[in-house]
Amino acid sequence: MLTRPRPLVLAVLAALLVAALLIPHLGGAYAVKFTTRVLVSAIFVLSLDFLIGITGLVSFGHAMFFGLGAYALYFVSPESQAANALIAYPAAMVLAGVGAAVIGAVAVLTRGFYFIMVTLAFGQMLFSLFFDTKIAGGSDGAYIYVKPEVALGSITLLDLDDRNTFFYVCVALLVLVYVALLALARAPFGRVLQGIRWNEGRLTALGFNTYVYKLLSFVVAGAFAGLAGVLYATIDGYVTPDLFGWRQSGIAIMMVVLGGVGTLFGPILGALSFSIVEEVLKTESLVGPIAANWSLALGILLIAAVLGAPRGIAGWLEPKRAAVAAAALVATTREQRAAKGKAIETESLSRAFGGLIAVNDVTVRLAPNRVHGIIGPNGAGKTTFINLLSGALRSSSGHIRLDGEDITGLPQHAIARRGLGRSYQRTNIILPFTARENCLIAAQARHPEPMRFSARRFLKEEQAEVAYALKAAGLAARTDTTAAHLSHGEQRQLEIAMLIASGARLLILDEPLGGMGPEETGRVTALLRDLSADHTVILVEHDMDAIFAAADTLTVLVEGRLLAHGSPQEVRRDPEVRKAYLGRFAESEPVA
Amino acid sequence: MPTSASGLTRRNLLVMAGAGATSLALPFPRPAIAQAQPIKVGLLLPYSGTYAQLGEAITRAMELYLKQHDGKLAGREITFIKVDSEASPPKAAELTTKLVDGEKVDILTGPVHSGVAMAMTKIAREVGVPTIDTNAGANAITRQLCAKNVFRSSFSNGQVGLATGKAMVEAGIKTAVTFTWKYAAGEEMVGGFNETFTKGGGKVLKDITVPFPNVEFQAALAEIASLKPDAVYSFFAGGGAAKFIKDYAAANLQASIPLWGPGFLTDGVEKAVGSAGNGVKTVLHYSDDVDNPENKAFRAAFNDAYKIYPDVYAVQGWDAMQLIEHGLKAVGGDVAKRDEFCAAMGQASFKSPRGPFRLSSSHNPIQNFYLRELKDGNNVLVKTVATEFADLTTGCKLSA
Amino acid sequence: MDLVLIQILNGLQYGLLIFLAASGLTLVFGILGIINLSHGSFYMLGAYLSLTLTSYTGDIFLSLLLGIPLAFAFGMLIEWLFIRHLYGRDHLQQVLLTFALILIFNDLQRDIWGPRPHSVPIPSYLAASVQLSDVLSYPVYRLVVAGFCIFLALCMVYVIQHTRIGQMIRAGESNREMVEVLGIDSRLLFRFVFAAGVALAAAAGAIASPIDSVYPGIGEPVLIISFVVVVIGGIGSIKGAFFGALLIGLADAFGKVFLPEFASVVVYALMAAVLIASPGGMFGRAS
Repeated sequence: MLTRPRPLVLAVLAALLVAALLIPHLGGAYAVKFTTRVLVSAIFVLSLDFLIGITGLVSFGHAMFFGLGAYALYFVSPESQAANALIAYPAAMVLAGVGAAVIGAVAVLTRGFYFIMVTLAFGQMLFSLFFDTKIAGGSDGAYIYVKPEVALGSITLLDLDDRNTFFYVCVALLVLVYVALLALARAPFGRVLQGIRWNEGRLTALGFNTYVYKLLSFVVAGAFAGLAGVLYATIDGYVTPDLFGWRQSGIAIMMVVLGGVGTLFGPILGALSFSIVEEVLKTESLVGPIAANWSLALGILLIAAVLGAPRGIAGWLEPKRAAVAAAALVATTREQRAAKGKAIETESLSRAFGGLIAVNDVTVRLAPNRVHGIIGPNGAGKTTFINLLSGALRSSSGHIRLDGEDITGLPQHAIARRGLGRSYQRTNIILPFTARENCLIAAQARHPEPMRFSARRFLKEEQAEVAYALKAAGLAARTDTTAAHLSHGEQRQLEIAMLIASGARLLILDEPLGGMGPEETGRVTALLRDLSADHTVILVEHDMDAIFAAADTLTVLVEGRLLAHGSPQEVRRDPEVRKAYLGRFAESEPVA
Repeated sequence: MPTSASGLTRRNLLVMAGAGATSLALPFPRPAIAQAQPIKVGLLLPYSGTYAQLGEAITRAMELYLKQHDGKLAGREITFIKVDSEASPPKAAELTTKLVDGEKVDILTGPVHSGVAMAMTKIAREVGVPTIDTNAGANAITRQLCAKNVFRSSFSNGQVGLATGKAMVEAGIKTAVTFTWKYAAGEEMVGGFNETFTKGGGKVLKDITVPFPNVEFQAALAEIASLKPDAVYSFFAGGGAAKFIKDYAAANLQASIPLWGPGFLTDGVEKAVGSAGNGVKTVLHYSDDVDNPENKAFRAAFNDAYKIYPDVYAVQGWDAMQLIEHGLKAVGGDVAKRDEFCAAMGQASFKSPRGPFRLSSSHNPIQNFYLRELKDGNNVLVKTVATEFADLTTGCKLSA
Repeated sequence: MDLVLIQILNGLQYGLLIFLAASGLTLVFGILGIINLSHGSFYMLGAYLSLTLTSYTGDIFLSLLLGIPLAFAFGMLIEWLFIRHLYGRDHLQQVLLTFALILIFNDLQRDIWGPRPHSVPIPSYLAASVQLSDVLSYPVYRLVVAGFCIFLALCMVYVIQHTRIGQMIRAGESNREMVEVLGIDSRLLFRFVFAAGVALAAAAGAIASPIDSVYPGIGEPVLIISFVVVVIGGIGSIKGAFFGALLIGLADAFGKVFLPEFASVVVYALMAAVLIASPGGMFGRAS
C-alpha cells in the first residue's frame, strides 16, 4: 500500500522544488517557460498515475480530459477581456470531471485491454468532435486572446500573463495536487482503489461496489487532468483538437512508466526527465546530427529504460518492501464484539448452464454459529452452490434467505455487505500489501461507502477489528509482513482474517485446507471450530478426515441434488450416501 | 517581485539597443554593435511525419539562397536554427517559444501545418518577432489575425480557391461539386472557390466532405457520378491526394467529369499518380514552366544542388529569403530595428520564380495564378489565369 | 440503389483489408498477451516493401511472394530482439516499448525511403474497371484485393483447423494458460505467431499499396481501426476479428453516406455500443 514517501524521496522532491523556485532568478525567459510546461505535464501525469498506478485503470485516452480543461478556458474567456482564473480553473475541472463521469460510466464497465482500447476510442471520438465541428474553432484550433487573471471582485490579485507569476502559480498547484492526490490515495477511499488495482474480485467479495469506486477515481483523475489542461491553455492562449489525440495520451503514459507507476512522485520525475531528454535530443547545438534522428534516439532510450529499469526512476529511490514497520495494535475482545453468526437457507434453489443443471432444487437450512460442511464428488455442484449463496452467480430459480431476509438476485457486494464473506480455492488476497493492510481494507468494508476521505472517523474501531482478526486467525506475529512473503498456509489464514475483519458473520470457505500439511490442517481446523463461537462457517472440503472432525452438520450434494443433510454421524449412516459417494470411506471408519 | 524585470521585455531592450545603436552610429553606414553576431533565422518546419517532404523542400531552398549569397544577407552573416515541428499543434507553442526565447532567433519562419501556424503566429504577435509564414494557408493569418510583424511568402487558402473558381468560370464550367477533407484548409479553399464560381454564374451542386485524414473515397465518387456535374473541384494533399486522383481515374470519371483543384492536389504527387493524373487541371501561384529568367535560374541551381527540381514549397522558401533580404537591406542589416525591418518587408516588391511578388496590406502575397494540366507526371502550364491577384483582407485592420 | 450497392462493395473490401491487419493483432494479444502498438508500422513496412520490390520485379504479386516471407523473417527478428522480453510483463511496459518502436520505425522509414508519397503500379492486366452505371466504374484491382484477403483468410482457417500449430493457436485462443499446460514450447509458438502477425499486417499493406499510394505514417490509422476491430470482435478471436472487421467496414462506408457530419465518430460509437452489450466483444472468451 502506498506509504508516506521515504526521507530520500522527500529530499529529492524538496531539492527539485528549491531548484524550481530558483529558475526565474537564475534561468532566462525560456527556462521559465520550459519549466512551466514541465510543471503542467507533471500535474497531468500525476492525475494519470492516480488512475493507472493507484486504481489500476490503464487509460489510453487521458488526454481527452486535458483537452476538455484547455477548451474550458476558451469557452469561459470573453473575447477581449481576461477571464477570472478563480472561475475558469474550477470550471475546467468541472467540465473535465463531468466528461469523465459520462465517459467513465461506460468505460469502467470494461477491464484490462478492453478498457485501454475503449478509452483510446473515446479520446479519438472527442478529437473528431472538436476537429470536425465548429463548436470551438474547428481543426485549426482557437485563440484565447487575453490570458486569465486571479481577481476578487474588481481587484486583480495575480496577472497570469506575467510568466513568472504564472510559473509560481504552477509550482504551487503541482505541490498542492501532489499532496492532495497522495492524501486521497492514502485515505480509506484510496486504500480501496489500491486494493482494486491488485485484486478487484477480493474487494467485491468483501462488499465494496468497485464500479462506483473506479468511476469516482476516473472522475478525480479526469478533473485534475482538466486542471493541467487549463494551465496548458493559459501558457500560450492556444487550444487545438490535437490536444485530445492518442499521441498526447501515449506520451503521458510514457512519462508515468518512466517515472514509476503507482508512486505519484515518480511520474513527476518521469515528466521532468522525459521533457529534458526530448528537448536535448531535438537541439542541434547540443547533440549535433542526432537531432535529425531525435525520435529514433528517443525510441532507443525508452526501450533501454523499460528493459533496464522496469520500475522506473522511482525504483532507484524506493526499495521493494517485504515488511513495513507500523504501530502496535490493540485488539478488541470477543466479548466486546458480541457478534453472532448468521443463518442461511435455500428454497428450491437451482442453477442451469445451458442444458446442464449444476444445482437442482436444493432446499436446506444452515443454522447459525455452527460449522457446516458441504461435500460431494467432483462435479456435484458444490462450488456452484456456494457461488449462488455468495451472489457470484445468479440462480435460475429458487430463493436464498440470510437471517430471514431474501437476498436472491442481489449483487455480490450487496450480499457481502449483509455479512456474508467468502474465500476461494485459489487464495484471494492482495499480495503486495502487508497482512495488516489486507485486513485494514477488509475492516473498511464495514463502512463501504466510497466517500470516505478521512481515516479518522472509524480509525479506532477498524484498527481494533484488524488486530482481533489477525489474532483470531493466528497471524498476530506476521502483522507487518507483506502477503507475498507469507507461507501458503498463512496466506489462507490471512484470507480468513480478512473475512473476520470485514465483519462477515457467515463465512463460506472454499477448500480452506487445500495444499496444507497435517500440522497446518490441525491448526486451521481448530481455528475454524473456534470461529464458530461468533460466526457461522460453511466449508467446502475434500479432506474427509478434517471435515468430519470439524463440521457440526454435513450437506451432501450429488449431481446437483441434495442427497443428505444432518450431523456427521447421520450422514455417515445414510445408506444413500454410502451407496452414492462415501462407500469405502464409511466402511473404513467404525460407525460411532 | 522579481517579475518586475519582465516589464522591461526583451523586445523593449532590443528596440532600445537598436535605437541607441543607430543614433550613435548615424554617420556611419553600418552600426558596429549589431554586426558582431550572425542573424539567427528560426525554421519551425516538419522534418518528420506526413509533411516532412514540404519541410525539406522549404529548407533546401532557403539554404540554397543563402549559399548563393555566401552565407550573408545585407552584409550580415545568417545562421539557420531548425526545429522539427512534427506538424503537431499541441507542441507548436512550445517549439516556437524554444526558438524565440531559447535560441533567441531574430526572424522566425515556417511552418507547413495551419494549426502549427496558428500557435506560432499567436506567439509572434505577442513578442513581436518578425515572422514569415512559408506555407500554412490558414486565412485568418492574413485576414482577421493579421499583424504588422507577420508575413506570408506562400498563399492563403481562400486566395487559391478564389483564383481556381475564376479559372473554372472562364473555362465555361456551369455546375460543379466540391469535395475535400472536412478541416479548415479544405473548407477555406472550397469557400474561396464557391465565392468566385457562383459570382461568375456557376452553380455548386453539392459540397461533399470526408473526415480528415480519411482516404476512403469510393462513396463520394459514387455520389459525384450520380450528381453529374460539369466538373469537380477537389482539394487533398500528400498521400491522400495521390490516392484520390488514382481512385478518380480508376472509377473512369475523368473522361466525363473533369477533375479540377488547387495546385496542392497534384504538387508533390505528380510522379506518384503517374498516368492516372492525366488531364487533372489545377490552379496555383506557381508552375514548373513559368517562363521567366528567375524561374529558369532557380530551377537549374536547385537541381544542381539537390538532384531534384524544386516545387512550389521550395519557391515559397526561396521567396521568404528574398523578403528577409529586402528587409535587411532597408535597415542596413540591423535586424534589431524591427519596425523598420517589418515595414520594409511589407513594401518589398521583387521578381520571384513564380512571377512578380509583392505583399498586400495584410501581408499576403499579391501574385499570379497559373492554370496547369497534369500530363504523364508533369504539371504543364496552360495559361496565366490571374495576374497580380490579391486575397481578400477581410477583418484586417492594417493599412497599406 | 447504386450507392448502396457500391457502399456494400466498398465496406466489404475495406473490412477484409482491415481484417488482415486486425487478425495479426488479435493473435498476438490472444496468444502472447502482448499489446502491440507498433502493429501499424508493419502495415507500413508491407507498403514500402511492396514499393521497393515492385520496382525490381515489376509486378505486385511477385513482390508479395518475396515480401511476405521477408516480413515474416523481420517479425521473427523483432520478436527476438524486443518482444520476448515483454512476456508476462504488465500492459504498461508493453505499451511503452511498442510505442518506442513506432518512433524508431518512423525514423527509419524516413531515412530509408524519404518523406515523399510514392505509388505502386497496378499490373497492366488488372488495370481495367467494371462498369457499374453510365458514369461510374469499379476498379478490378479492388476486387482482386478483396479476393486476396479472402484467400489469406482461408489459408488461416486451414492452418488453424488442420495443423499442429493451429491446434496450439486454438488452445491459446480459448485460454492462454492452456498453451503452457499443454506443454507446448511456447517460445517457438510465440515467435511464430508474432511473425505471422507481422506478415499478415505487411501483406495487407502490400496488397493495398497500389490503391492507397505509399507515404509516411500510412500505418497509423490502420493501427487504431485494427484495435477497434479486435475489441469489437473479442480479443484473441479470429472469427471475431473477421466479423468485426466487416462490421466496421460497412459501418464506415454507410456512416459516410448517411451521417457525413459524424462519419468519424460512427465506428467508435459502434464499438462503445458493442462493449456495453457485451463487455468482452462479440466473440470474446469470458474474462
